[in-house]
Amino acid sequence: MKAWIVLSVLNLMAGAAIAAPQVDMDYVHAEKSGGDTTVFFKGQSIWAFRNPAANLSEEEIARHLTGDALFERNFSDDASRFDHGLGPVYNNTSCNACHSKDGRGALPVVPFNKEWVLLRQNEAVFLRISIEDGVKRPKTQENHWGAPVPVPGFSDQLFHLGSLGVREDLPGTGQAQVWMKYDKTTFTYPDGETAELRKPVFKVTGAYDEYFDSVTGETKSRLYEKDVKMGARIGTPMIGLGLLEAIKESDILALAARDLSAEGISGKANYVFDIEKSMAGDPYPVSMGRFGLKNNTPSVLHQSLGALRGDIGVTNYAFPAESIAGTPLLEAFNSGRQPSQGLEASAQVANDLVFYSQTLAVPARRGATEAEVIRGAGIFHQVSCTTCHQPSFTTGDHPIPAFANQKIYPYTDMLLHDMGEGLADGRQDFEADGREWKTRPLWGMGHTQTINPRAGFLHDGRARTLEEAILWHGGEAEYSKTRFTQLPKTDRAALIQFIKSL
Amino acid sequence: MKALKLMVAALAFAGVTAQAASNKEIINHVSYNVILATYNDLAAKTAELSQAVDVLAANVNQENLDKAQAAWRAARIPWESSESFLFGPVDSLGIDPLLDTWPLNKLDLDAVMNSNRAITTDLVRGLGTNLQGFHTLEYLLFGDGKTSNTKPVSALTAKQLQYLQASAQLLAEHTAELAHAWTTNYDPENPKAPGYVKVISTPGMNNEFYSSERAVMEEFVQGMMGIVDEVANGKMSDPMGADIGSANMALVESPFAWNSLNDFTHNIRSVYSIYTGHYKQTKGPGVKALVEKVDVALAARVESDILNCMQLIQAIRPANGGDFGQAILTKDGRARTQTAIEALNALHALLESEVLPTLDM
Repeated sequence: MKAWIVLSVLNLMAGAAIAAPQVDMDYVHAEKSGGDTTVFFKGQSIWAFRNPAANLSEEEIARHLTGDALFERNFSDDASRFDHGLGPVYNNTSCNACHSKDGRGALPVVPFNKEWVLLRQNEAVFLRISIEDGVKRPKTQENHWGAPVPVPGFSDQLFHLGSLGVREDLPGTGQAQVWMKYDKTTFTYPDGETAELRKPVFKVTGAYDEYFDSVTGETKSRLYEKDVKMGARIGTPMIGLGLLEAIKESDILALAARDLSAEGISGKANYVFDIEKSMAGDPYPVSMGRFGLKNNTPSVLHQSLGALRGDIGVTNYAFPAESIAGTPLLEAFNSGRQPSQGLEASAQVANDLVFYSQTLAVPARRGATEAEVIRGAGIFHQVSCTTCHQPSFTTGDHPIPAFANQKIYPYTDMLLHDMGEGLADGRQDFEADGREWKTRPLWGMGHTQTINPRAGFLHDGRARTLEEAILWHGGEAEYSKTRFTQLPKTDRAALIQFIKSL
Repeated sequence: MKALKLMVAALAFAGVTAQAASNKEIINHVSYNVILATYNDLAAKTAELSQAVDVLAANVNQENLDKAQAAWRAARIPWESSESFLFGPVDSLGIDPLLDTWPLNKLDLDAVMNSNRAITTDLVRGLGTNLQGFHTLEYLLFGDGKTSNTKPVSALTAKQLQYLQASAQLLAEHTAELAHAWTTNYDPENPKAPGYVKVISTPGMNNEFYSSERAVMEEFVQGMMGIVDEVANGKMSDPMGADIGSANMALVESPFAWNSLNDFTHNIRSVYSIYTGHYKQTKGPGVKALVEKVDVALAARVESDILNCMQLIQAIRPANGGDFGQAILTKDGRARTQTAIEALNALHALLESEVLPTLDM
């Protein structure tokens, strides 16, 4: 695969542009990005992501609205309340807090006079953590068929917040304190234009298992050891998830099977633990991944109930144990108090949240008839963005009839790609390696920063603009990125104008 | 600063009669004289609350407690009056949950009081959002709200006073940050970013967030619809439940001060402000000026429906004392609540089916 990249870049340097693979070009003019589920806004709006799919039944809309209230619910860590369930360690208190107005999150503000900022309450970012020791492990039930190796005493996610009583030394803190700063670099285009790029860098202090080793004179924690890798994740938009779930697996695998070696591209499916199959007693509960930044979950149910239990700490029928079960931190917290009994979210609450997450409408495109946008749409294909940001699919069946048989324009091939060292988090996640990420859908892009003016693009929210996001593309996307940078400035602007029309 | 604000208001009003106002004039007036003015008031009133709490801590007596309670209610007004325009910094700077997270965690708040820990702003800043903000202050100032909303000064402990001071100071700090983001710089990491009032008031092709006046006008109308829906179908319906047996007091907003009905009224007051362009003593063109160009009768009907909703919300208050939380536990109170909910839903339908289309006429 790497050889292809080198070959492609060489081709490019020699001036040999490669024709992009054929795609259905009707995307240039298509406005109903979500098929019949599409909702219409004439301008950008903070409300653009907050609507039920347009073709739901009245009964389904009522259920969606029930889920909406739950999505905004601040779960409480007060055991005497009906909405108890938060924590004892967590990253935020509600779904909406990271997916504000069902949109994209922003990184913490780093004040002018400071280098590092401590992640406190209400941040839309958290760290995934795992052991990366180079050992190839067979897929077994114990490791959830190839899931990341959790950090002993922690888990596979770092919870920086905690209920009162979790940390006597640092009230409000969870497993550890997380700090962030930016590394900044400048990108120079062939035409001499420049763009500043920033990358968030994280460090961890105050881990609950921290101790001073008087022999080495070092402060130690399992978390601080060299084999622990961390990768930041920002809250992503909630629109169109049911439609993505309805794309036929065979259509996604057909894209993976394409020979795109001339462009140095090889889309790959992830195969991941499937909680629904597991609950049904399937002896090999593994399915193709569709959600999560590395396609590490197979369904909206698995993704959202995993986040409910993980990010917020609310146990549910799919994930009945606290995410830090079996760790000394939880044992210490529970000693001397009555641990919470039973599931913290009822099946009704869990299922209504899943239904809500499946049924948010995609907004229609705006400005699709403008000449500049049409020109940008052409350039989007010309520089081969369409190869991975596959414009359209026709969905197959789905338990929610509204999503079945819809022509949709998500601009993702639903596959993993090597995105280069600049974006790598060095973490294996089932079949995805440390440089591979799922192609993000682009629908709704033009509303994203109206909804949240500081919303950051890419997996960790580092890109402040679409231009920065494009310039971070590397690996299999190096070819397209390079062609983008070689375009005249007006063509680059037209391409971005097209993305903003989505 | 104050003089400047008045001048801006006067300018906005002087040359513009409501009927003749263009979208540009409506957007300018609403952005500066309704939205920005509300955020400036919020910063000022929370600063006054913090001062009132400091005075109370320095001199613990009933009069000072009453004044601090009054300052809390006064600070609540601009916050609730901002809920039809939750654009920009309140979300992008993550401020909303720090101000208004509900429910608060009474159990943990009591645990902090009972610990030996020194209560400082740094401590409270590190605690959960459900141990900060308006409702934490409300609980400490008014008591648990079960049988009354009057707390005797004798019930205030030294620790509670420290916690009040710390959380009032943080509240004022966050609202000052919010006002700064609206007036001066919406992104603290980008010194070139203007105040968000400039963003919302100058739509156009070079505006990253709003490319047309049409988009901003729709944002205003959608914002009105959003809060009308939330008051009817969230804030009132959720605690009310299907019957008295399923009414849930734990879902009532501002239950300790018995301030719920005032909160809801000010939510709808913010709809009135965007619609008419009237904010406190300041007048100028709002969305109504546009609707009037299309249909004078519709324009008047919407205004009277908004005012009627505010009256119907106030009419929920039980005659023998109490607030929304008490009303939903009686048959009559529930009937009055239902009437208000239906009027709000009718207003929502009117905004959606008749006001929104006027943007394109």
